[in-house]
Amino acid sequence: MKERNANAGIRRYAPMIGVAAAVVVFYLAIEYLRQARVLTPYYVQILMFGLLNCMVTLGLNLINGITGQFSIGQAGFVAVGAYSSAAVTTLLFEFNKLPATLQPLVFLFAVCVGGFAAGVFGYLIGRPSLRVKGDYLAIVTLGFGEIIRSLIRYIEAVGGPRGLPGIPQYAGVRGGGLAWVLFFFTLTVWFLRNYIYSFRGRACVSCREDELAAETMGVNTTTYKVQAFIVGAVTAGAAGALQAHIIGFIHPDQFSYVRSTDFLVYLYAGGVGTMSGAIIGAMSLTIVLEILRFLADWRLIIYGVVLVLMMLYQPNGICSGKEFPFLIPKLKAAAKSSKAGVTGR
Amino acid sequence: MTALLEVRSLGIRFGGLQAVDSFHCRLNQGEIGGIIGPNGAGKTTIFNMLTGIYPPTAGEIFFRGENLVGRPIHGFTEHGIARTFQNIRLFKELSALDNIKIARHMKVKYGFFPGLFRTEAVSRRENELEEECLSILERLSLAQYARHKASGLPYGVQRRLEIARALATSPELLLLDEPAAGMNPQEVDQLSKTILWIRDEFKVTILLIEHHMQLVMGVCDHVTVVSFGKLLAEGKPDEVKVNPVVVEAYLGKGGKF
Amino acid sequence: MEHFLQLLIFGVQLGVIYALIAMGYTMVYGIIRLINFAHGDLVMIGAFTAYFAARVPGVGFVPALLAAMLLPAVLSVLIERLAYRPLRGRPRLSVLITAIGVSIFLENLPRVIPFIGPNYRSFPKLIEFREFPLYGSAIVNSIQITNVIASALLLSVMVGIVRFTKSGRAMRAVSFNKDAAALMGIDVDRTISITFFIGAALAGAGGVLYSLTYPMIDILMGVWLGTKAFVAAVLGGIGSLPGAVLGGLLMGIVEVFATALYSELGYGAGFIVLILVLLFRPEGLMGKPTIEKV
Repeated sequence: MKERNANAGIRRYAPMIGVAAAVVVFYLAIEYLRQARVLTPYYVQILMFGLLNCMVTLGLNLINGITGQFSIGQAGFVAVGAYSSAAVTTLLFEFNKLPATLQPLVFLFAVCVGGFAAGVFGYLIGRPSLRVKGDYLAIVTLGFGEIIRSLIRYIEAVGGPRGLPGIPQYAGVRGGGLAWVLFFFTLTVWFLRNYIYSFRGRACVSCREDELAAETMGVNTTTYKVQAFIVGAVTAGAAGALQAHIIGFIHPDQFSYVRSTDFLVYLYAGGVGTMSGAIIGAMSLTIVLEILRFLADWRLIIYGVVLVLMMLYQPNGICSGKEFPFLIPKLKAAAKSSKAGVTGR
Repeated sequence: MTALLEVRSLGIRFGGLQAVDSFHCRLNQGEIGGIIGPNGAGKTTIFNMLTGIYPPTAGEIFFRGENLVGRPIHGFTEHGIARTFQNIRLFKELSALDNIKIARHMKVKYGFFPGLFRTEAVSRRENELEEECLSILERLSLAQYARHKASGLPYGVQRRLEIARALATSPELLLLDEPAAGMNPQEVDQLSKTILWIRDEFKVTILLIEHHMQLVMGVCDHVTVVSFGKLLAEGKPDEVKVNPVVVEAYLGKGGKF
Repeated sequence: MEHFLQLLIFGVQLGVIYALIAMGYTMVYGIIRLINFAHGDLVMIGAFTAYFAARVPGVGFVPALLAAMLLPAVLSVLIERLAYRPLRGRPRLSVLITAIGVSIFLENLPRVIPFIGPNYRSFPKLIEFREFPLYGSAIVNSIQITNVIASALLLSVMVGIVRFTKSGRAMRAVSFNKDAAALMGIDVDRTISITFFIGAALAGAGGVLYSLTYPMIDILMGVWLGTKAFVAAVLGGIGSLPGAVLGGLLMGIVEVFATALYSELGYGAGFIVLILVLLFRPEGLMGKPTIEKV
């Protein structure tokens, strides 16, 4: 009996162990290529930024794709995460003077603070904003994002309009920062997958499908819309915290609404409503835009044209509603569960 | 014995229009009530008030002795009132099974963080839920559609699925808004049997809006007639059927059912 | 008091420009429910058109203004035809992403055009600068007067078109119900084109007036100007023409007063007002509330 339980346990955790192992192998492979000078730090950094963009886009997918709200202020949450975590490592602690054993803990703490602060803002913004719907919600979130940026410019302690330099580059590309980024990325994917396929996630989906019907099914739609905002904000905040500690310098203008529309583009180009779409959209566009750098000024022109063509000829995005199977939790009875999962449109 | 549902002088005014005026009705546990009346009489508006969608401007809705007026929509559902819609409002892009799962929302409870980590207990609960929902579908002979997208199902199946979804919230009172709309006589006949069966099988009290007199007369214990937002008559189906006021409202003077 | 009056003048000067640009947002939104992200870039194109037109000998303010209205208008009709029209009936977000794509394209295209490029340029003085004392130490200058008169004129012409012409009636019908309008024999495509044309012409004019006021122009000027004008449109109640004017004026005045208080505050202040208004009147100051039918 005992043995059978143990076996069940192994079977249950096998996919997770598999994914974790895959992430570790991936990390080691990249590290090896870097040591072997096949990959320059520049490439690794692009990969890291791609993963950060994935995190933010995954959070945005929860708000826009799963819950059916329309937020275009995600960069504001990234800013909150970046600034609050940087405040921890520069103002609260003198990071570089800390003993090496304490540094990871303080860094972890800083990322948590970044995520938490963004979450608080997510609540403060989500709660009143949800009184308005659709396009109005979009403009309110955009407005809040810009207000956050204005506020940062106002706070002298974090550099105001001049930006904040000298943040310890603890997650920098040379300090093995890829490990940190991969860790938080994997955590984000795992948490969001579990969230979406829980009763809370289904409640979010019901808000998207038909708010009134959802209410008559006993779903407090306000609660779940706000919750989606908070979770999405926390993800963005964590990504912001990492970003601050990769580059070591943050400036209010890095978080303008233009950045918010980037995430929107990643999501819709990849395929809104699925995590696969968010990940593939963010990763591929980040990389493609870097590859196209040799085009100099032509790069964004082509980007604009491609975006328009994409919406004309592949409107459902690259993934068009398909989800990677490992992003859908297995159920015993669900031997032949549909490919699209709960989020398919 | 107190009634399960007791509505007292319920009224709603939209701007200058008194859509419903001093409506009242009383329904005991296990009964089937019917609301009939010409188009635009305010029947659906009454349902919307009984489910919290429109807050009434006057009157009380006592459900199991508690006044529900002023509660949010999901509060009505939490207290045990479920409904279907006249123009089917399923979660169209989702599978039949997921429609039912969402309706079981109130019956699933686990913490936020256990949910994030999808602990053993959460996983177990989700597996149970899947079985519960499949069994609800099975009881309403919808099992074969479990993985089908709701919008792709035939009309009649969609109607049945909507009833299944309402039942999945484990209600005490089930409100059916024109369940027979768009059905042919054979289907209506079948529906009558289904409604009676649902009452016994799921131990629910039912209130329905319907135009098919045959259906209303066949299943209802109690009928309320409304016209132009006003209560016209009430009583047993046989009494109502011969009430001259009702006949006149429906068919004009000299009409006959 | 004099200081207050002076700030008010600055606010109105800026506000009428926002109103002109907001009008285009509101018209396009009213007719196809699209936040036209590319609208701000038409403002920039208008400003540059006037910049180059003014180099031609003998071209003064009015011809330059007309040229600056015509080019964005034609361009806008073209954009609608090529990028937005094929997407009609698709999810609105696809169209929105397309609009973002068009906007990215328009912002970056001038960068590679040899005679434009990414640098700031100083805008020619199309209007002779003169100051007139108004009350105490408060003064009003010729550019401010030009701004107010030109925008009042353009807005009246536009309102006249929408109110009294056949195309205007078609516009109102299409924005009310596209399908019903088509059944009534209205050429929906043509009406939408006209709407884009007029909206973009006003945006171009807005670009010129803005450049008279702040005579440094660059290819990204439309981004922030467009955003603020959009906020003005939402503030006034998107879809409502008087709302766009009211919202524009309010935005301009709030921004000027907030900047006077603290220079970094100017930008955020408009958004704060917007959010406060939307929280109490989700449909904007002059918008119509929508009611969901169950």
